[in-house]
Amino acid sequence: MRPKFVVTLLLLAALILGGALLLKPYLGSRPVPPPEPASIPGAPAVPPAETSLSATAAPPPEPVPASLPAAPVVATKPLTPEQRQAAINAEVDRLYELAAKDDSVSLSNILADLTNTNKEIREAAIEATKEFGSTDAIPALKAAADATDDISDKIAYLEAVDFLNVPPFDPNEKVNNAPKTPEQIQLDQQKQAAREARRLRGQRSGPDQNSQSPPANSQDSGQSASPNP
Amino acid sequence: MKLTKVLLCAAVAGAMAFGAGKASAFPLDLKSLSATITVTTNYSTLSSPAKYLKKSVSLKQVLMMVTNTVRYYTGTNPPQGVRIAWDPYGSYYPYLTNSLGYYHSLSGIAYAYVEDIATSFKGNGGSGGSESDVIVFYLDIYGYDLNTNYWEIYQDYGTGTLKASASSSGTTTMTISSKGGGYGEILNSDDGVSSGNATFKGTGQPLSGQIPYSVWYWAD
Repeated sequence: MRPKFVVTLLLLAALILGGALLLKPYLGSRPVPPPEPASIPGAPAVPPAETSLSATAAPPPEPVPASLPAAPVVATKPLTPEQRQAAINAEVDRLYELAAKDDSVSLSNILADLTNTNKEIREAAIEATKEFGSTDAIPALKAAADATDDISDKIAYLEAVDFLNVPPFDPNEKVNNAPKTPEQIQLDQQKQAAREARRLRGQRSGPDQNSQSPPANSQDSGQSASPNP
Repeated sequence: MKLTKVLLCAAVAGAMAFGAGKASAFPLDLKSLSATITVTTNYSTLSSPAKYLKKSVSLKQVLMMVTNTVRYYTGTNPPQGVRIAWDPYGSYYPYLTNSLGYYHSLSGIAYAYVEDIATSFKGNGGSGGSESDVIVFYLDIYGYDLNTNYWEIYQDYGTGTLKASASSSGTTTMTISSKGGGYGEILNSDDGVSSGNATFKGTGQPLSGQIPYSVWYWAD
């Protein structure tokens, strides 16, 4: 009886070991990512941030009895909705910070998120690309537009291309017009009055224009003067 | 002595940071803005063919124009690193602020409000929850460039979304995004159109009864 029991035990252990070896390639690998669009020229080979949103910290392996083969440990831990949203918020904030810079590495990092699997991050990446304001981003935007089947994304990519093709606001720009005649100056004054009337029409009936008082702890409590200097 | 000075500076900086946090009940930062302004510069000198003038505007440029306008009105330069913030709970005026507690109301330079809301939410914020609304939003920013030319640099009377998520501790992240158009003006142009989108976003601890925002808004 005893040798039979030992043989059965050995066979069972061998069976478990064989099964574990067969299943290892499937259980030990990371989840297969969704198909990604074609690679974008100019964008670095950085994995999309959404990929990094899935938990990467593997829990410590549990102690296994010496007589049993080590079972494969699944390396991912599902994020709670709160954790997931926090990770998305962090990535969106990072994109806004990158948008304020003007170096090529920052632009590359922004472009890498144009094809992120998370829509919120993709939208932030498009806005960050526009805010960055470099026409170098146009090929990447066009490639992303070509690669997606999502109509709203496609429109957003192409709108960003259009935006980057428009000459930007220049705070130093000079007016090239000839000096205005008295009649034109009078027209300007009428226009100013019409502008104010239009603004008032557009505004919801709210508090008095200058009724907002600054907080007690402010450094500068100065209020703006009238909009009409 | 040196240590005392360091500690004193740290205390002042801490107090300023605390002050900045108190500057608004729930400050949202203007995180992104992009628009185009298309104008007819001068109708009285038009000849055929006529072609409008078009410029693009981003948040950096809006901030540049707003700080210049504050200097134009007050004679004082706002400090470096300021940002535009707005409290959606009852304030119509965005303001300039920074991490050290600087505050300058943009009354007369910018105007923002939520006009209408269709809401959907779950939870009430006290123990976590989320809100996703469709909104009509109005944002207007105007002022002067370095050569004192007037710009209506951004006007968005458009539609968008208000999204908020509150953790179990009540900490809430809110994002207001809008896309639309309105009046636009470049270099004192005669008439024009502004078209673009903007996003405000912030994290804070709303007061009791302020989440969902839509319910607070309706009752206000």
